[in-house]
Parts: sequence; C-alpha cells; structure tokens
Amino acid sequence: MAFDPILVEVVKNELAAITEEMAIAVWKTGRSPMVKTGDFATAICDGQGRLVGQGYAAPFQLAFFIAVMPHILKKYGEDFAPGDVIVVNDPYAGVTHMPDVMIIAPTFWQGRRVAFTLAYSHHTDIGGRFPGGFSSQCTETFEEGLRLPPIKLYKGGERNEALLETILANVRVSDEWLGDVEAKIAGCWRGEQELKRLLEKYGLDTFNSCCDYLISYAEKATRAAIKDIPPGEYVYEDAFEDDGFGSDGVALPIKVTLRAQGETLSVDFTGTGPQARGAINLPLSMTEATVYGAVKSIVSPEVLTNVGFIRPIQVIAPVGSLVNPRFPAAVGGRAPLFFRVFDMLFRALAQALPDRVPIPGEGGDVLHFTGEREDGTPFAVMDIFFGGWGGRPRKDGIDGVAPMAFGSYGTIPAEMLEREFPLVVDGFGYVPDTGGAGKHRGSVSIYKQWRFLSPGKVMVRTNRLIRASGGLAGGASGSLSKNILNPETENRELPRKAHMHMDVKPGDRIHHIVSGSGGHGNPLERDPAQVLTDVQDEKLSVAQARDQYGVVIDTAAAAVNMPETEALRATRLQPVAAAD
Amino acid sequence: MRIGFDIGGTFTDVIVVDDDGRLFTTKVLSLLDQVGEDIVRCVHEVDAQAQVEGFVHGTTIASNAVIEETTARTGLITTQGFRDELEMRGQRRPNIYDADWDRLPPLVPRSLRLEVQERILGNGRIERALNPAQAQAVIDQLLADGVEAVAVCLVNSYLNPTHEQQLGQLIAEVAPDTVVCLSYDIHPEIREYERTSTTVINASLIPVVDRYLNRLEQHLSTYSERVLIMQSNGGIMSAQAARRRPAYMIESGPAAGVLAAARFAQETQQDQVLSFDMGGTTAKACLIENGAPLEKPGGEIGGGATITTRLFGGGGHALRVPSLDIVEVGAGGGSIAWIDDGGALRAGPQSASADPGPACYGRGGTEPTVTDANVVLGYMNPAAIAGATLAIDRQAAWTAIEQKVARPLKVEVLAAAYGITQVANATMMRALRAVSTERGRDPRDFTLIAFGGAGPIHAAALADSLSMTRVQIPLYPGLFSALGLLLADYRHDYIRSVAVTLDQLDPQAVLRHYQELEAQARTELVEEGIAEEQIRFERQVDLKYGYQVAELSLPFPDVSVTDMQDRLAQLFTEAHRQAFGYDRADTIELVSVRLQAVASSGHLRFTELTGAGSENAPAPPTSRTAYFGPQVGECEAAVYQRTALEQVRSGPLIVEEPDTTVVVPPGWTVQYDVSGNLLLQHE
Repeated sequence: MAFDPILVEVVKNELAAITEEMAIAVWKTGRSPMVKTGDFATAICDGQGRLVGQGYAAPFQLAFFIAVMPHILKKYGEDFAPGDVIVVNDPYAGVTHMPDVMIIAPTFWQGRRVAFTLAYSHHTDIGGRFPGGFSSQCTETFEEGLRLPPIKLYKGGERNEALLETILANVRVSDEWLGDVEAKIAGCWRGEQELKRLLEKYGLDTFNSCCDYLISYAEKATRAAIKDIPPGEYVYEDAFEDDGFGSDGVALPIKVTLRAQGETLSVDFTGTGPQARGAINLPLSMTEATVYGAVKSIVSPEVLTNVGFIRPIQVIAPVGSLVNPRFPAAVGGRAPLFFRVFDMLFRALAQALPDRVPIPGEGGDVLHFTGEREDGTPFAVMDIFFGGWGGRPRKDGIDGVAPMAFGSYGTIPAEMLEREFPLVVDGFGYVPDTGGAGKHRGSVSIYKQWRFLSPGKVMVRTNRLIRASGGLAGGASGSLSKNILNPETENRELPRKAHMHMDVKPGDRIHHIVSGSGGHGNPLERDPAQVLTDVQDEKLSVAQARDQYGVVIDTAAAAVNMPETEALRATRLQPVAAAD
Repeated sequence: MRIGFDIGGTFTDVIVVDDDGRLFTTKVLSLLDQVGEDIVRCVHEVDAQAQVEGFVHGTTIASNAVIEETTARTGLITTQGFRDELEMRGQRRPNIYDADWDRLPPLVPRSLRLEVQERILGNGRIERALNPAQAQAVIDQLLADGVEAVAVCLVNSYLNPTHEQQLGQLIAEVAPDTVVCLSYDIHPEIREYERTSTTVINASLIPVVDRYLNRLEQHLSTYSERVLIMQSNGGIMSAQAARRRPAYMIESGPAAGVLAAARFAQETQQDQVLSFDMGGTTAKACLIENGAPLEKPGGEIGGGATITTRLFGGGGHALRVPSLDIVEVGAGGGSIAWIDDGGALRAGPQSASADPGPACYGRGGTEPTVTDANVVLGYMNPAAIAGATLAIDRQAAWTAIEQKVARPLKVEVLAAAYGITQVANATMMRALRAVSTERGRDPRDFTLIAFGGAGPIHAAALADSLSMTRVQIPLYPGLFSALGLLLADYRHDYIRSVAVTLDQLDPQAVLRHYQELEAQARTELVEEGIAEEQIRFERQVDLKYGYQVAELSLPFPDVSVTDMQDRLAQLFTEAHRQAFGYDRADTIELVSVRLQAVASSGHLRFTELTGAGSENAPAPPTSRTAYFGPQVGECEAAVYQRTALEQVRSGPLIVEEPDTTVVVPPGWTVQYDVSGNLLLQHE
C-alpha cells in the first residue's frame, strides 16, 4: 500500500475511538463499583495478537494486554471460531492478580480471524480465603481464590454453563460477578461490530498495513524520546516495609538500575530481595506494566499506546525475587509494592531528567466491605480513593487527585455508594499540615470516613503507613497514612498493615487518612504568597507556615509579614546551606 | 420585524428581518459596554419607525465569565464533610500522561465553602435534621465575607430537598437580595460533585448575567421589551428565564451557528455534514447527521475541556445541562501569532479581540494576528472589509508580521504570513477531527459547511488537509450564527428525580410528575409570551439496571396506568439489547423523568431568504495578487461577487461579500447554486 498519511490518521483515530466506544459500553453496563471507579480497560489486538489500539486505560494497564496475548495464542493456536469468548485471570498467564478478569474475543471477517477485542476489569470478589482476593495475607496462589487459565466461556456462541456454574459457586457475589463479565463481553461485542465496519470500508490489507505502520511509528517515536535521556546508569534503592503480614521491622530491599543507551533503555531489578512470604509480590507481568507505565508517563507521553512503544525498553527481573516470584507464590496484594516501584522509577528518572520529573504522588487506598444486607442478599463493595501529586520541578503537586500511576481513575460519588450499599460516607476532604513542604508543595492528606450500617468484614488497604513519601531536591516528606476506629468514642489507631482485616458492627466508623506527598525544592524558597494562599485555604496552619516555610503570617491583616519573613528565613538558610 | 444579534469575541453580528421577510445585515465591534446602543443604532438605520417584535440574542457572556474567572463572589453550602468535593472533581484528571497538568481553580475558594450539620441518607430519609443555629452562623459568615450569591448542595438532596429549601428560606429571611440557588431546583440528579458544580456555575453567573441583561434591556426597550436568549441546547428562552438559569446559556453563541447549519442541511437534504464556524477568537465544529446536531446531556466548561473527554472528563467544571455537542479550539481571526521558547511559531489562544483588534484594523493593535496574515497574503481586501465599513491598514499588518514573526524567524514576510495561517489551520483541524475521525467518521464522506467571519477564508485549505472534497458557503456566512438565532424554537428542559425500581413504581405518581413539569413549563412559556396551544411536549424517561452508573434516556411511551411497568421494562430491555447486545433479568430503576417543552418561534426558511439575498447586478470582477504557499507562490486571483459565479470557475479566486471573504485556492472550483449558496469542490 502506498503510504497515505490521511488514511493512517483516520485508522489510528478509529482504533482509539473504537476502544473508547468499548470502554463506554463496559462502564455503562458494568455491575460493580470497581467498574464505576475506572478499574478496567479495553483494547484491540490485530490478527497477530499485537496490541494496536487502547483507548481508556491507566498507564500501567497498557501492558496487561501485551502480556496476556502470547499465552492465548500459545494455547489456542488457530483454534478460534466466531462466537468464542475466552476468560482468564491467571497471574502466571499474563494477568497480574486474580480479581482482574480478562475477556478476549476473536473478530472474524469474511471467514478469517482478523483481530481480537479485549476487556479486563477488577472484580470485587474471586472467592478464596479473604473477600476481594487482593489481601496480602496469603502465602500461595491456591489460597487467593479461583484461578482461571485461558478457557473458553463461550464456544461458537454457546456458553459453557458447567464452567460458569462452577465459577459462580466459588465467588461471594455471583450475580455481580456475572454482571461485570457480561459488561465486558458487551464491550468486546461492540468493538467487534465497529471493527467490521472499519474492515468493510478499508479492507483487510489496508487495515493490516496501517497496523504495521502505527506499530513501527510508535517504536520510532519512543526511540527518539529515549534519546533525550542523558546516557548513563541511574540507580535508586528503597525498602518495602510490609512482607504481606505487617510484621514488625521488615525492610525488603528493592533496587532498580536504569541504563539509558541512546535509543534503548534497560530497567534492571538485580539486587532486589527474594520473593516475600505474603502476597505483596509483583508477578513479572505487573513489573513490566509498572516499568512501561512509568517510562511512558515521563519519556513519551504523546506516543501512541501500542506494542511498538515497549520494544526499545528491556526489563530485567531476577526469577524468585519480589518482582518476579516463582509459581505458586501469592500475588493478590501486589498493589502497594507496585505503587512503590512506580515511585522509585520516577526518582531514578529524576536523576537523569531533574527538570522534568515530578514526585508521582500517593493514594490508591481501598476500603473493601462485604456482608449481607437486611434482606439476606450478599454485597461486596470496594471504595478506592486518592491523595494527590507530589511536588514538581516547576510547580506544586495537586491535592486530592488520582496520582500519576492511576490514569483516569476516580472515586465513586458518595451518593452512589449510599444508594447501593449499607454504608454512609461521613466526610471526604483535605487534612491540613500534611503536604510535603517544598518550594513546590506536595499534596496534602485526604481523609475519608465511613460509617457502617450493617455488620460485615472489612479490609483496608493502606500505603505509606510506615515509610513516608520523601521529598526531592531539598523538599520534605509528606505525612504518613493512618486508620482510626471510631474517632469520636474509642479513637483507636488500627494496626499499621498494608492489608488490615477486621469485623465491623453497625454504627462503627473508620476514619482513614491517605498520606501526604513529598515536596520538591527547598521550602524556604517558596513564594510567601503561595504560603499565604495555603493558609487562607486552611491547608496549612500559621504555625506550620512559620516552622516549615519560614513565612510569618499576619492573621489580622490576612497578609505575609515580609520583614519578619525575610529575617526568619535568613536565620534558617545558613544551616541548610551549610549542610549541603 | 425581528432582530438577531450574536456577540463573538471580535464582532457582533446583527440580522434584521422585516415583516416582508427582507433581511438586513450588519456587523459591529463587540464592545460589551455599548452593545445595546450599537444594536439600537443598527435598527434605527434600517427603519427608525420599526415595530420590533423581539430581539434574539446569542452571547458568550456566561462562558466568558466562567473561563476568565469573573463570575460573582459566591459561597457554597454543603453537608458536613463534603466541602472539598467541588475542588477534587471526583479525583479525576483529563489526560493520563500529562505530568504538567494544572487543575483549574474551583469557582468557589475553600474559605467560602462551608458545611452545615444535617444528613439525608441514600434512601431519602432524614437521619439528622438541619441544625438551624449552626446553619444561621454559616450563612452569616458567608454574608460577612461579601458573597453576592450562595449555592446550596446537600448530599442526597436529589431525593429530598427539605434541608436545601430550609436553607433557602433562612438566607431569604436575612438577605433577600442575595442570589440563592438550590441544587434540587437546577439539577436534581444523583452524583454530588456534578450537581454541586452545576449549581455553583448557575449561582455565580446569575448576578453577572442579570447586570448584563439589565443594561442591554434598558437600551433595547426603545424598540421592544422582548429579549430572547439562545441556549446551549439550540433552543431559545426569555431573558427572565436566562436570569434564573444562566447555566443553560453557556454555549449560546456556538449553538446558534450549529442550529443554522443543521437547518441548512435539512432544507438542502444533506445527511452528512460538518459545521465549521470560525470567528475572531475560536473555531467550533459539530457533527450533523440527518439534519440533527449531536447532543450531550452535559459536559464540562473550561480547562481546555472543550475537546470532549467522552468517558470521564475531569479537566473543567462539570456542567449537567443538555447541550449541542460542539468542539471548540482557540484559533480565530484575532488569534495572536507568537514565537514560543523553543523558537516555534504559534497562533493563539490569546486573541487581540475587538479592542485593540488585529493590527490591520488600525485601532492601535501591534500584535500580528491570523487576520493580519490573511490581509498580507491578499486573501482579504487590503483597503476595507465588513461591507466597506471597516478600513483596513495593510501596511500595519505587514509591519506587525515583519517585526514579530518574520525577523525573529529570519523568513520573508509572505512566508511568515503563510506560516501563521498554516499553524492556525493545524489547530482548527483538531476540532474537525474531534467531531469526525475521533467519532469514527471519515471526513471524506462529509460536506463542510463553513461560516463565521473567518471560516470561508480557511475552509478550502482545511478541507484539503482532511481530503474533503465539498465545501459549502451558505448565504450570509459571516452572519450565519445570528441567522440561526431567528431559526430557533423555544425550548426548555426539565428533569425530576424519581429513583424507584419498576416493581415499586407508582404509575400515577409518574404521570403526576410529568403533569407537574408540564404545568411548570406551560406557566414559564406563557409568561414568555407563547400561546398555550403552540407548546409541544416531549416526555423522556431515564432507565437503568439498579446497579448501573449510567442510564438510557428513552421516549416515554403512551401507556395506560395498568401496563406502564411492563411497557417500560420491555422498552428498556429492548434498548439495552440494542445498545449493548444483551439484557438481564435484573431490577430496573426509573432514575428520572425528563420533559422537553418546545414551541416554534418563527417561520423563517433558507429558501425564502434567497429572494432577499439577490440584490443588484454584480459588479464586474477585479483582481489582486495573492500568495498560496511556496509551491504555487504569488499569483493573480480574480475577485468576484457571489452572484457573478453562475458558471463553474476555477481557483485561485476570491469572493468578496459584505460579511466575509471566500478563498478558492488553486485546485478548487466554485459555483453559485440556485438557492444562493456557494459550492466549492476539489478538482
């Protein structure tokens, strides 16, 4: 085909529009709160199983589809028929933990298999020892729930009722489970219809050559973007404070070495500690997803999301380590370590590109609540919410928004939670004096308080209970996270575990605080006018304005006292400069 | 006589239709302080003794106030624990990879967002009564802080407005002149952030719009007391209604042009049309299929969110008001060309607007604009435009481009001017792509209908870039949006939350909701001067499976009370299967009832305008030198009047009209058709 820039542009946008169309179908028809939050993604792969179009997704989700397709093709070869629908959630077959259930449907056109449509979403339960299937308090994958290798839920349009019955007998909220699967099938079906329209119009050869072009274009653009990283080796080390069971004094070593070599980038986890006892490990597909998501966010945000993008990036993850555990290690609670590795990759990249790289921010904490309603029907609800962005080289972080790892995730409106589940949201907002101080301030903490109206089992996932989000370039750390039971009566702090389980009774309240994010740059260099705004917005107290920023606020005049501020800052600058 | 006027960033377009159907058109500069006087002067010039039936007005006053953050100082009262939701916006962001993103500041700062002690649960039951003493203290604090308006949005109030109404009472007692806007009144729909944001936008606009309309009406009352306002949904409402619901007029100006394009497409029986409207500050595009513009139940304003993020949004202020689905970008005739830090040529989004305007207007502007480029390139008349009413200073345009663009870039002035138009075109392509390729439509299947003061200058070049082969320039392209004002029907949208499952449905109650909304609509429309028998109602119903996040809006069927449940269940199941390929034996919820009240306002048709359009015999063609890029270079382009183009002619040529200029580049032909429109086709 002669290269036709208009046609390539049309096909590129058509693929994006179709995947978005699929996402809208999943979102509109999905049954569980996780779909409403945005914990799902849709994609199109071409006939060779190469990811060519991904609309709505978080940065890390872009790799899920890339990781799973080889397993599908290896198992089924050419054994696909129109009307087939494959279901898979196996973390050792490209999925990253078992609550994420992926649906894959082949698209046939003129008797040939020409593409695949795919959709995944996070289910609120997958059976197993703990409701939700993402607790870290399991030691092997058999405890974590029902593992589904790639299997055909539909064969030639015929649903496998025995398989479905077996699955539904193993999950706590069977109706909701099936509802979400049907929503994903609806999304895939929608994608198939639209792909056929596209093929009718342009034909298969044109479609395929456009896919080839778009993939090599993404690769070229990524190579060009990687060239902007000064060649060299950038190392960042951290430790993870939770082995899955919240044991005291744990510090699991993680090490990442970035090697920028012209047009390619290798990300090497050699030096990272052995796989943990509990389910906090990152399966390889998740480690890769974390790397691709973080690198894309900084290096090549504009580049198309398709399989070409990952080609210049090599991931080295030692087998048997925290970031590539051996079967049957448990991985359900991999999210907190994923957030940490994402954060580390940003800090490693910041060494290479100090003017470009922000602190990616905090959040992604979750309440998981299961039980029975008054009428005896079971429910399971997940409520995910966020802190905000850390300080950036040229501007503040942002308060109360999904951090950079999270794409377009959002929170579920309180009104929707309260309409469907036996709980009340008592409040959701900012906590003053919690943002990491800096020339550019990190986000403040966000609190959320729930009141339970029926008895049930609760799991709270919390990040940064022990190790704070550090500052960059002289900025200070954000505050830690915290969970408090019944603040108005018992006022008891709950155990500092990444995944904390407890039973609740009607009237119980949990007050959760998401950590603040680190600040960027020396707080004493912060514009006093910005400090004043923070005080007026009640995000910072007058006392902390003085202590952290050296800014003296005249409360009566609602203004900065400049002479006193300058005098105070002069006394502080000395020791800071000396310490450098 | 009826008068339509549409305020753009640079020009205000005025159309006068007299009782014989004759049209008079003119343009005045958009100087907001004197728009009323300017319009009155225009009418006076047409007929000093005119009997004016009414004015129809399209205005950007509301959207500008939100975008430029000049809305009234507004307080927000929320349920305890919810004051930050307005700022957090569901914790979403518009672009997942943009680490440089800045969140738009909320319209109410945190210090004016106060909480009251009360609680209504998710089933509408009052759990904790409103604490009147504490509420009073909150109100006093806001008043002491000098707010002009108060927005009230309490959690779950869409199910039970009791506490919001009590707060409204309390405020009215102590501060009867303060604007109060209750979320239940403006948008009683589930989702507290969206409802709060819509309420805040409405409340903070009321004082702004009220002041503006007062000033306007004062002048216009010389001729008529009747002033109608274009809404985002493509319908019109009275100025009184606009004062209550200014949130409905956010996309007032853009909607009028799209409505005109849709009517034009209907009358000329074109099924696939993209409307392209380029004015002084922005360019707008909309997809029109089978004569109907795409609509949306709500969207966002500000934050660059005009390229719609269809799924979640997060970039702008949420606004749940039915509107036409228009995509707008910051490129227009007045867009200023500049060199960025990296040494690249940019155009917009800053605009020279009406004052001082482009350098060539000779009103003191020194920054080079897209219009200046068009003058230098020879596309626009180098002496005067707007029907010879606005003098053009080509030398000033030349100097501005030479000093600010050509010299820094070390290129010739003509090349710099051409570069400015290319950069502006690239921005405008984004709008056209957003409504075509990004919606899975191939632009090559569509006809571009171009209008607005600058649209016909750029249309053929844009079409070329998208491989579109047909461009139509309707009559009065520069005043097309104003014409749309006179084509619009009255329209009011109403919604009421029901939130019951079908098995619990009380059919009598549903009918009662519709009857009450219809009574409300009837009262409002009769107050607006509509005869009761002219009012048409369209009932719609929002249904979903109980757990779903989004509902399907369906026409409410004509049913008896006894089979309402079954019929609704059947309708929804079919619609769900149609849209998503499956249905479930699940509980169905009736979320809301909606009512659209429509009344025809006019009688104008494009075909009838034809007669009015054919004026004197065309003047003989002239010519001037124009530059068409490095490949073609400078060439002599014939300059015609529209009516002289009865035969097909090939470009390069230029059509000069009183309200705009049409550029037909090399490779394109142009012909004047029987109804007075120009058809440009790629050879």
